[in-house]
Amino acid sequence: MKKINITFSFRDETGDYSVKVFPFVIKCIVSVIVVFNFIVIAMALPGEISDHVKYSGKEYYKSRCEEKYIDREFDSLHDYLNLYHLQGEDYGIYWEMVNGYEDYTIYMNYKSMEEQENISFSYMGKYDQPQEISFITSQKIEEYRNKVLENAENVKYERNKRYFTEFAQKAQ
Amino acid sequence: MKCSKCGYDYPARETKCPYCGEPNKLGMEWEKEEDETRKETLLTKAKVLHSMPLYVANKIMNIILLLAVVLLVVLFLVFFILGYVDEKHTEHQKRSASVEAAEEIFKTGDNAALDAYLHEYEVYAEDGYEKYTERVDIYDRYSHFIEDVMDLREKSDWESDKTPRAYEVEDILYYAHEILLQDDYRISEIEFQENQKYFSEIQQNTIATLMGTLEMTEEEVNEFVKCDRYYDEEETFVKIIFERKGWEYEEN
Repeated sequence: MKKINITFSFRDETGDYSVKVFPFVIKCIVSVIVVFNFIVIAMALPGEISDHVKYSGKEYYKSRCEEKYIDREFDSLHDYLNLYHLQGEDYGIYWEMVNGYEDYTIYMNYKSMEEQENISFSYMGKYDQPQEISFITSQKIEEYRNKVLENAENVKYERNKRYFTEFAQKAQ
Repeated sequence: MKCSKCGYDYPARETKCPYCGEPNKLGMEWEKEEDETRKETLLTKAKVLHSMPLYVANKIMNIILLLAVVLLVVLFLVFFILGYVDEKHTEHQKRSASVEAAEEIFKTGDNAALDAYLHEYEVYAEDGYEKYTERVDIYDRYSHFIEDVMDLREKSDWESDKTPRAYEVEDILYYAHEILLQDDYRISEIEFQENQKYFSEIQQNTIATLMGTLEMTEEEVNEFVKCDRYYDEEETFVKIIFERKGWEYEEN
């Protein structure tokens, strides 16, 4: 069987030049992919850098917390503060608010079941851990009621006062 | 094809340039070839390859590939250096952390601050910090639950025109199930007594949500802790709750 020569040569002004078909095709494909990626990255990079600068940093976090605070989205605010581990005096007002609202929420939960006094559950957990849950509802109501009243009495940030006063009125 | 000597354009099958007489290797090769199919293949390939633009394209592709390789090497070096710097920073942070400081925060009961401390100093799940890691894991699972409960409370307090959606109550039940049955690898086993006490309180708060705000009966709670959340058995309880509370139930 005659061997087919797939190496071709042609002359140009610099001399003989050989191009092999198979590597040429591979180079073509890879070059197209590389150029495409370069273009995509070049187009996306300025936007990414701009977004990174715009949507991070203390001022941005504070403004987001403030938005959620004003909109009374305390659940979302709680999640946001935890997610980014936002601590310190700058976020003190928000932590005071979400913690206070949490206490109030739990108080309202217990209050809603005040007719049921002695609660006791006994069952096995998912991995056969024995579970024993028992409490006296009136005691829990009192415990959380005191927390709500204490929060209202010791509120540190003026802006939280009106909320804590409202919670305390509902607890009395 | 173009003649290499005079640049005259003539058919590739000619054995020499008709203008200056310069020999054409391809034409000679074609003439020698006996097989008709192979002769056509030679001509076709000559047409594809014997042109200047392809030569230039080949050079350009070489440059592109070289640039790509250089860029990859540079990126690799940058990531290597950044990785090294990050590792050194982590080591420094770990050296700066102390169990005493973590214990102080632990005693205040501020679990969010404890979580922030463990992550800032990169000592989460490290030796010596097991108790604090365990507390933070419990707090993390509880946070998901209590945030959904707070969302429900907000609707009651300030958005009375909005009724809860089925998926919102489902989420509460999902996390409640996880807490009541310790159905998460992070809280499946609680080693430290202080955390056991904290976890018990969380479980009590969870029961209060189910029986208080969601008005589930004791029998329903007993059934609830037996159901399998991975088979969507919680949906039954969602429907019962919606009916009891007079909320409009819509399938997800």
